[in-house]
Amino acid sequence: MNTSTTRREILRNALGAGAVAIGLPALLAACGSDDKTSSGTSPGGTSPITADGSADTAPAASTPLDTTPTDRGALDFRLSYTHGVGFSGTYLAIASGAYERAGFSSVNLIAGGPTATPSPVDVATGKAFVGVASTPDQVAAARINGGATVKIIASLYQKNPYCVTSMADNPILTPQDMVGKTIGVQAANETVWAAFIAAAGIDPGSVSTVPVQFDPTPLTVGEVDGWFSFVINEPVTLAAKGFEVETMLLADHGYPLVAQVYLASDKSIADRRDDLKAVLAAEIEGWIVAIADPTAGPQLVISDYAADLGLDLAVQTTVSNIQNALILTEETKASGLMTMTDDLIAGNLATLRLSGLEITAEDLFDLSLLAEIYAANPTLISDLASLTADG
Amino acid sequence: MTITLIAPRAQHHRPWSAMLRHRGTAGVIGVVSVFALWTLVATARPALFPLPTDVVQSLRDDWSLIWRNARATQSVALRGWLWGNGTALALAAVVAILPRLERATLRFAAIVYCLPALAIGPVLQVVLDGDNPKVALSALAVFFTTLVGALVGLRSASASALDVIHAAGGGRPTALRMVRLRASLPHLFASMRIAGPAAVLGAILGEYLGGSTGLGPAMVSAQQQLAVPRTWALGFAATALAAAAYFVAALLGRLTSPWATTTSTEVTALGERTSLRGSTGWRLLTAPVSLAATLAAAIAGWWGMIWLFDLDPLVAKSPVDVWDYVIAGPQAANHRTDLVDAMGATLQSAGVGYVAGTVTAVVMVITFVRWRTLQYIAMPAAVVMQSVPLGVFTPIFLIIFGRGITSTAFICGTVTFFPTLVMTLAAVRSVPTAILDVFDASGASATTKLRKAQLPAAIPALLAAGRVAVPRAVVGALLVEWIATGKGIGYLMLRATTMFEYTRLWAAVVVCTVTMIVLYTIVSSLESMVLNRLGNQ
Repeated sequence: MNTSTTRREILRNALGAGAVAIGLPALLAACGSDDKTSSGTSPGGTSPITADGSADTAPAASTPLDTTPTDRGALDFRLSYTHGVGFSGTYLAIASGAYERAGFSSVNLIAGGPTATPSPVDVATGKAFVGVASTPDQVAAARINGGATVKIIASLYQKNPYCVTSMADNPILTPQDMVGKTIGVQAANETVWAAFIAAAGIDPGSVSTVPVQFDPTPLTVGEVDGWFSFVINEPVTLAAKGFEVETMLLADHGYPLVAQVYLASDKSIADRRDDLKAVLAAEIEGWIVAIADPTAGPQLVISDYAADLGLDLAVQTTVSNIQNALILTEETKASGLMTMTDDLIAGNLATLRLSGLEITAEDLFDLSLLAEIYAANPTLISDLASLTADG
Repeated sequence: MTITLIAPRAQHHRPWSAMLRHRGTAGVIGVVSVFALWTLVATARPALFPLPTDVVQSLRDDWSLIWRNARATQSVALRGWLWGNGTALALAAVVAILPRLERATLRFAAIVYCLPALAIGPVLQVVLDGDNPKVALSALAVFFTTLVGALVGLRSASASALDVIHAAGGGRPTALRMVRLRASLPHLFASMRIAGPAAVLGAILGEYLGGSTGLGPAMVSAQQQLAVPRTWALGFAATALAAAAYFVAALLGRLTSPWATTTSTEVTALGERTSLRGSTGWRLLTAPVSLAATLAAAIAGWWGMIWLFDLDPLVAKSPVDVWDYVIAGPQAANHRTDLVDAMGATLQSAGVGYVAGTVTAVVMVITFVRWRTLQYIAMPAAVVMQSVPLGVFTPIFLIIFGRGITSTAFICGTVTFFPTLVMTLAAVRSVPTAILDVFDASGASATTKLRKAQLPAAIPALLAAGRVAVPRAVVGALLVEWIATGKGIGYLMLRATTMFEYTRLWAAVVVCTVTMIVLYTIVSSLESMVLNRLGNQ
């Protein structure tokens, strides 16, 4: 979208020329061609939207947005993590043609990863136009600590998805149960974890925290007594493997925190409102499909986007169902997906304050784009009436 | 530096077929005993270890998945290998023509080598698109060792051959083309043996930056799904890829420079020695000056990169930002205390790891010299250890041995011991046969031979290896903090990234890198002092 030639691009071209000068053209070319097949630009990279006639024959009336399709070019969209069911709605928005109808020629999904830069970086630096961050504390930290001018423009999960998972024979059912025990916490979640401990009135010295990575074996063999994660991840995996586990949801203990939040830069919110609204409207369409058919997302994930990760369809469908229950609540059924009530906003700010992130609602959230979308397209809300999500 | 990772000389005396048979038998014994031990352990702790048969089953069932991901990683690693080696060779060629640049180049390369991947990852991601950040991390993992190997190699040309070129009116470029390149090949392939596994592990590290293809994400996904046999199968695929890269370089080295085994004795001119003339006192005096010059150049380079790549100030902090954070700003004293405490903790872990790695390497060298057959059994195992992606097996290790000093010594020692082993072994093997014959003739025992002739030869190599091993020990310590202890400067960097405290991150990188450079300078000064003393005797 940014077409101005920068110093960096000139240099990049020069680097390419340098490779030729060093005398490795044949070898580099050989690996270059390798790259096309192996690094998978089709699932991970740009998804070209083919004009297969449906766009031409489908009149503007069928698009939820009452605008004639304008050419918005390619969209750079940063995901909060590697490809997976967490982005079902996005995949379905692409597959159903919602993005194409909204005027985007292609959607370039930039996947995250265990040591990826946080999403706010890519959005603030302009590498991505829109991004998804797993939790709002990332955005607040980016704004407060880093001076990144980004805001949350929509929030997909309404309920705090964090939970402490424990083995059924050594259960943790209340925050007090954690005293004297060891909990495994991934570094990225430590901010939320510290806030939770503080809010629960537990002496931080009475609970021992150790860093963990991706493998929940430390929990199953008892090296740790609890495992801090999203409820859609490790608990589902462990149950699928036949382990009896208990989960204590933070949402059930008075710590509201939305998750999978969409963010954009202040500048885009001011100057490119229509483009942002087009993205959000397409996402909402996609997520409505994902809720209506909880298997559609997982199927796309396994056949296409994360085909090389060896995921299991049944497990991923379970994840999809639990996820839908975090998205479709009584509130969002009434006011539209991704919206936030004033209470929810206040609760989130209070939770963030416990993490030492003091920020006002105006600085962190701008939900006016969503409001304008729903005002113009009430069917996006009425379509939800018939849907259910029963985790 | 003795980068002579050159095949043991004694093989030369034996016919190839007999040697292969000998090695083959030893190798089979090695593999069988590993499998027996594994089955035993897996039966005892089924929750932690999959049975070998389950892993083999997974290798069969998930073959297409493993293959696709291995190809993706291989593609990144190969490009990283080419870029890293290409840049290193180009720089080495420039230095060969302008030898004055050697010391500065090596120091600068050492700084690049010391930058923690965690810190440069975000910068690479902002600057580069698509697969290129992964390729860059892989290239960085390769660059330094190849540069050092190439420089030693280019210098190893025999003086008489160079005199011939000179007498015939040839200049430095001619000498480079006709003599030095040829002479450098053995050393080059030696360092490229290390480069292969490094490129693969660098690529996997890069894959953690983002994306859903490659062995890195596939291993993470398998771990998250508790698919233990598949995790191990993928881990083995990564190991096999890295080991293959090692052996391809070894084979190429054999084929293109079969004279390697005979030249190894000539190469004892090491490291920065040529550029370090003068008395010990003078060098001690100039060392801080040259260190300061290096750091000044690094700061200039830092600013240059920000300007050149147009780096966003959100992510790329300037030397002024870091200066304010650590020295001039209102909170600077607190920041300094945090950083120094964290670095202190990291240095303790690194020290434990370095000692563990070096002791292991020396014990192995002694064992190999006394019982050569053991080398054929254990050396492939050492190559494998070097190539294993630690992410797969460290969680198990932590469960068994806890998160204390044992695990630190093991994990940090694992990333440290290999260069020491290879370089020291080569040095011990390079003791001229004539000298050993003298010992034999005088009826000295094998122990005396080892103590009086072979181990002294290992001391310079040990110090030379230190230049690679000491920074590696610090990198290993960062890894330990990240995965096991949650303390030290490694974890501080991780938290700074997630909290968007990029000035803190860059300050930590500066503290960590400067510490490594100081250690590096101490090791190289020690090395040249020892070399001079040995040379003067």
